[in-house]
Amino acid sequence: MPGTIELPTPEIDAEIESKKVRERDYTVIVWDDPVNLMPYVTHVFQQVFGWGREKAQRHMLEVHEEGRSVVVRDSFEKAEYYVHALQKYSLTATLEPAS
Amino acid sequence: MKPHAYDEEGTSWFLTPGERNLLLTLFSRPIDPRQRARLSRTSEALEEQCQSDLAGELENHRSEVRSRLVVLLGAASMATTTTQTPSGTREDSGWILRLTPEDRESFLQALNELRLGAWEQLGRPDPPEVPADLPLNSPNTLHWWNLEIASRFQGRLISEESLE
Repeated sequence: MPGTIELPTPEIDAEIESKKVRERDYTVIVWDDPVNLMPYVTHVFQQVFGWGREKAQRHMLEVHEEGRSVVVRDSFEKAEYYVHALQKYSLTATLEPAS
Repeated sequence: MKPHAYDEEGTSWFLTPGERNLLLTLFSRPIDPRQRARLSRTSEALEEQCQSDLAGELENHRSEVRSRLVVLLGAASMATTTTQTPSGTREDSGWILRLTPEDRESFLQALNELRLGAWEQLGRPDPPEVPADLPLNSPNTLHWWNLEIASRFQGRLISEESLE
């Protein structure tokens, strides 16, 4: 139509939302599942976080008995890195906004 | 599968010909489809922003790990080991698989991927134990077998670590 200028859709809201998501702290949670073996989960915690066997076993048992264990609280980038690392071992891990 | 030698670069494992063939077969097959991993259970914003990156990264990683293991198994060297038994000396022919610590982690991840793939194909049973009344001709027999055999190899790799 003559005289009409089509403006691009603003993406500012999405950018602000993305920035908000990335600026807060996150917790990494490992969830219980019936299939991963307990020695395997302990091993993964030792490898991914560099923990000693005792600490790794403590968190593994927390996952097993409580259904979940918070293993990290950190920035978005670091928490995302740990979730990816845990999921490469097929553990059920997610990151959640820290309360 | 048993530890053969240790050095600063990793561990050498002795595999029987049957074990090597089995692992080559398992890691050469197409990967069982898996339910996608979630990045967050509470934040939809996170899921929307990051999920596609995660899914792609995981899929590539799984393929790379399997390919790496097939190469390693193909590069294993033939060997003979001697074992003392109550009835005398026994010689076994097989293969030596060298694993760096990084390779061992890949091996564990690939075995666990096999376990979880089989478990999902079985409908995610809880507990994941072979039913006592499983018919031999059941379509699930192969999945149960995969789950069990991958668990055994995984157990060997982890128990060796605890001896180091």
